[in-house]
Amino acid sequence: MHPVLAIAKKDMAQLFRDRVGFFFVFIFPIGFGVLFGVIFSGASDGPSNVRLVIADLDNSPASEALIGLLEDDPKISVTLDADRDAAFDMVRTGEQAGALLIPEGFGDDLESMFFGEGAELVVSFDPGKNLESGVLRGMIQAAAYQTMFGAFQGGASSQRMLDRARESLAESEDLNFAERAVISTFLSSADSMLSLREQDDSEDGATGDGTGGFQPITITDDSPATGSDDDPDAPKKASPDTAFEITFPQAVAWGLMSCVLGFGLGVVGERTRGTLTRLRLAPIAPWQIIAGKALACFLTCLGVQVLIMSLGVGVFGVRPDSWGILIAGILCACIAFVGLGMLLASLGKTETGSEGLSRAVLLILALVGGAGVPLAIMPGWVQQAASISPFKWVIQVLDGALWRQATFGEVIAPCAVLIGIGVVGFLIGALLFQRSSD
Amino acid sequence: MLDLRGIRHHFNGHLAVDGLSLHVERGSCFGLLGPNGAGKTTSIRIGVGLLKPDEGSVSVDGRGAPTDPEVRRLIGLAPQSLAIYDDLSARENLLFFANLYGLSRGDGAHRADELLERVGLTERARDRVSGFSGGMQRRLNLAVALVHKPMLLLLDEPTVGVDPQSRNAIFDLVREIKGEGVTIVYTTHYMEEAQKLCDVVAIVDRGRTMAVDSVAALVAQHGGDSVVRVTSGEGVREVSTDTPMPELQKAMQDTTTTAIEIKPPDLERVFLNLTGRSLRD
Repeated sequence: MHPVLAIAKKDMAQLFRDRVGFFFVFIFPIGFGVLFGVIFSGASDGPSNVRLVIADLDNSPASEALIGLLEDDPKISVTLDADRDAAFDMVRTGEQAGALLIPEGFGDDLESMFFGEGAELVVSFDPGKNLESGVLRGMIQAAAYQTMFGAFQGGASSQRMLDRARESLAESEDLNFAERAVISTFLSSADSMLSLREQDDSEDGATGDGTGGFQPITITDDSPATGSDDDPDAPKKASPDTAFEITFPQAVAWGLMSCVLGFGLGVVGERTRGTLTRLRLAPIAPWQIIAGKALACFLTCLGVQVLIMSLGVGVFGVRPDSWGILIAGILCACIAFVGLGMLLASLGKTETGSEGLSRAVLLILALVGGAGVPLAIMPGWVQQAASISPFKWVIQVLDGALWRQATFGEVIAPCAVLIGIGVVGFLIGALLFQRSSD
Repeated sequence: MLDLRGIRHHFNGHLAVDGLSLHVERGSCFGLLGPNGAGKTTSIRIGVGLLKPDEGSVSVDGRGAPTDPEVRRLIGLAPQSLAIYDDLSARENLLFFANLYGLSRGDGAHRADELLERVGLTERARDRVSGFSGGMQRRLNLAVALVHKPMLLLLDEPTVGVDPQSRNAIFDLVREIKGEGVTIVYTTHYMEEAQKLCDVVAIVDRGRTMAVDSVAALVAQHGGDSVVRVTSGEGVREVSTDTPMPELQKAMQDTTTTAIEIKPPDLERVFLNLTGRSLRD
């Protein structure tokens, strides 16, 4: 067997036999991903008891109907607050997952949806609660449209809506004859439909969607600033199919961290145990020793990522949008963390010193890079500093592959950064390692 | 087999080896005797090419410096620290290093089994080294140094921290290896070991060679007289003499004598006379 392969095989055998090391490399990250995935998704039913504060400045039947719909939803816990700023502050401080502002005039705007600018709702979501935000966003939209259709399902408000639309049509100077004719015909038809509804008590008539081509309700997002808002390079927002699509990339980050720790300790251990002396005395080139150890680290990083992602796809419903980007991200992560591991291993003189140093550096990089707390809720300077953390780039690429619908063009930069970190770290580390071994 | 000429080397700003010169004959067992910190390990590391000396030259078997991988192939080293992987089995350790030295899978396995037999670890071959006693680990450490059948074997304090049984096993193995024609360089601070195993001993202190010769010649030249130690009613009396018999007769005639001890000159005395201090200082 080639010496590089022999050293890699030996290192991996050592890792697999070290129960504590094995646990932290393979079991702990999976546990992390699963545990937090379950917590964020409420097992399989999605989040429950999502907290929403509503500031109703309109106090109209329409706004009350909207609030009623939201209150009736078992997944949402609604709090009412009359003050807009207080409601939005609750989101900023994390007390509430979301805030909904129903502006004054919402009811009137809803009734003039055929001729005015439409009704507006303002929402704010906690960027640290992506799942809850997604749920709230969907439910508010559904409730808003349900309210709108409710307003158009007959009765005085619908008739008033049509009457006001006719008045507005008569006053309008921008429309030509043909447009007036079309809209007038539409209003007449709507009139007829309302008459029929009044005759027939049945309210299950097919109202249809009917919203294509115009926007009767606008929902404006006034969430606290997030990375995506500030950073034009950030990938576009999409939504994960499952919470595990968010937590498994983070699990990968923790797995990579354990790999690097194990790799660093292994290299320093060779030195302190004296086995490095034997390796150096063997008729093999110094680069073969380093390459063997790097290969072991690479394969372990690869193994832990493949294992976590396989579990995610096979068991937890993770559905990558792009397998190609996922594979590229995994390979780039391996390169980055081998380089980082080599660098850290070369800095420690003893196992205790190396472990302390590596743990401190990796924890800081992990936390700054969003492996623990989402980067979006970090202060701006932390978000900028995060660029030095390979964890940020790994998570960005994996998120892009899993649910952010990133294109290859969008992940080229993060992948290049990861490869750069790997190459530079490896070269410096190998040089320092070589010097310290002489 | 091994030539070190005018070696000087600084280690951490301290002069660890100061003009050391040695010539080790092929097939001999050469002892480097000196206290801890005398520069023995540094000399060994220079001898195997792990350290480049600041001054001087090293040659192995007339083939050049041990920095050449082909020359290194001739050398086996059992370092003072246990340079084995404790989470691998004894056999796996041997197979791993056999592989690095280019032995084929079959040859490596054969050699590993043979060495395990020789160091008495056959029954524990597949056990992890972490469960071994200190003596067993020392024996394995020695076996690993032999896996590629080196012509020159350097043993750096091979009996540190081992039980008497393992120590004797190591002594037997060293004698066997020497019998096979392998040249051995044996560093120790135990003069009994040097006396038992080595044909030639170099007394080393503060990085310098104080004397090099056979044990008998060193003792004859630097050991001084025998010491007769008599314990009697008058107390303990020590007499240094090259003719101890008259002192013995005199002590035996004294009815209050309770103990008589004759201490012939040894390497400890050689070291004391050469350096002015004990080997265990």
